[in-house]
Amino acid sequence: METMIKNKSNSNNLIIQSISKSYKKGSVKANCDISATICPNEVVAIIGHNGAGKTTLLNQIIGIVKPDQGDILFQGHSFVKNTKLARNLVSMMPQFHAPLSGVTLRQAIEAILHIRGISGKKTYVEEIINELRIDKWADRPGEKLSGGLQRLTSFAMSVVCPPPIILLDEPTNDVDPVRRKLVWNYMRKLARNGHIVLVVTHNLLEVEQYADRYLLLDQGRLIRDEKTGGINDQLVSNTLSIILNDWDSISNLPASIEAKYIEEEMKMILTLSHEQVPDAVQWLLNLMNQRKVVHYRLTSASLDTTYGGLTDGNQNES
Amino acid sequence: MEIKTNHERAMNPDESRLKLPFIKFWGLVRWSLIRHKYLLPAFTIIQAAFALAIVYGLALLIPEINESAAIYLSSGSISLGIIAVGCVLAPQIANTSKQDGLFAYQRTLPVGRSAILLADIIIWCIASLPGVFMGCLAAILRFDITLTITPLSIAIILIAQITMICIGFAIAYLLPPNAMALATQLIMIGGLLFSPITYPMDRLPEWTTYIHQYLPFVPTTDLLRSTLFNFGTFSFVDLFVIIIWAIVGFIVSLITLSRRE
Repeated sequence: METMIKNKSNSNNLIIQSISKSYKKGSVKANCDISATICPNEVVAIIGHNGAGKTTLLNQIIGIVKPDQGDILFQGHSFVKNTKLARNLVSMMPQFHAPLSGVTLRQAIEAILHIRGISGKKTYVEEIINELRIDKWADRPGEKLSGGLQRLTSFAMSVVCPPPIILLDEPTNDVDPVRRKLVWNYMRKLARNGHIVLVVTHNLLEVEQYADRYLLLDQGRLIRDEKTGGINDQLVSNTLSIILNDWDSISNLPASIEAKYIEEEMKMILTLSHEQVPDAVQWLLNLMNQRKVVHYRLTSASLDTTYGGLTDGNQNES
Repeated sequence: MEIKTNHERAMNPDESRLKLPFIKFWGLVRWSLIRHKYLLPAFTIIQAAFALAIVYGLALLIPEINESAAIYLSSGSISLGIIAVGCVLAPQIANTSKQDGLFAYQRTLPVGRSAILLADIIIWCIASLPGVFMGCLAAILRFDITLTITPLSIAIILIAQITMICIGFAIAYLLPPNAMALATQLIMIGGLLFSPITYPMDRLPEWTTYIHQYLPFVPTTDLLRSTLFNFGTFSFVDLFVIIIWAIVGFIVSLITLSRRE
């Protein structure tokens, strides 16, 4: 089932119109007939398995990859036809770290401002360094920074004095939990200031917490486009995951919408409606009293359920 | 914190229409200079050693060095230095930047593709200057040669540098790493041993003349010899050949850099 958000027409929206791209004479489809309208003031997450076409979509927006068909419009201009304009209006954080060899963290951010032709560099650089709390490493050479700090530097390079559209490819990978929150909050701040923020990520929990909307891609197709806030309204909204140490003695399972067993992990996943939660918790407490539970987690992470239900990652990994 | 945007500037082509491209271009040059700050001194030392090795080392192979041999060795040293930086070091570093993501990253920046190339050409021209200087110095010290420093000879040095760098970039951007390494080795071995750069053309079989006159290396050396050392005649055909190679190298690099997947 496809769910797509219809947005009001606005020239400041980024309009993706039936974008398709294939490689190797059409045998490999990178993406297929993707349409979406991305509005300013919202953080939109792009999720999907590896090889689902997420990075290809970002590369098409900034003009590195040319779609076989379709168009990408912003303020009446086609980014497909005018890639120079696309690069002026879009800032992109690459999937891998931005090249930092030979420059310090501070110099890397300054360099981007120079290249963007922006004055008042010192102020902007200090602001972003302080916002991300990376001032301690500001003068350390890029190649000596940890993976997380390199990722944060790359993020800072993309968002310092940014153009209206910001594309971020897995910005929180390798980043510590405290600064992950800072990164997401900074994205929200950018959105509040009228920027279009598109983020590729694999972290569904963060998407639920911070993104306004998500696009779920599978095998190059957009199979879901909806607000994250709507997730909790759905019937399926609670997941109880339990790792057990005694598999055989499990009995009297509580009522659930779905029960999954992953034998090799000794793991049980129960999908529960709101009404089913109290009984399930009581059942869990009984198991804990019997010391049969190694670890448990009760979440409202229904995006995780949706994601797994709509896609088949193992088959589509690339 | 208020987040600023340069959106209006990007959307308004009238504002800073002339100034902004220069500011951005200087930003690119500055970034390259910072990135290469450790490489440039290293290249200076390598080129100094290279120039001394040719002028002093190759001279040991020749029992009696007359004026002609001295000029061939001296001009050859400068020419090979320019070839080494442009066609060997530059493509190797450019290829590394392809592998570590710099090449791909540069393509997302709000600057023209030709500006990216020009910025790198400027950096590599600066990088090959110490070799030119050391070649000249070695020639003066070893053979007591008087150099003819004129606007024309300086222009020829500049054209020679740009040509070799453009060829080097074309090799780096067009070829995969293994093929690039092979091509650069071939150029260097061919340049050192099988090109009449450090010795006269008449020592090679006649058929090689037809090849060398259309390749850029010998015409470059002949132009350097005729202008900087005042030896031989200045040939507009040689100048035409190397300018054509520079243009072809630049266009190939530009196409590769601009190509969309």
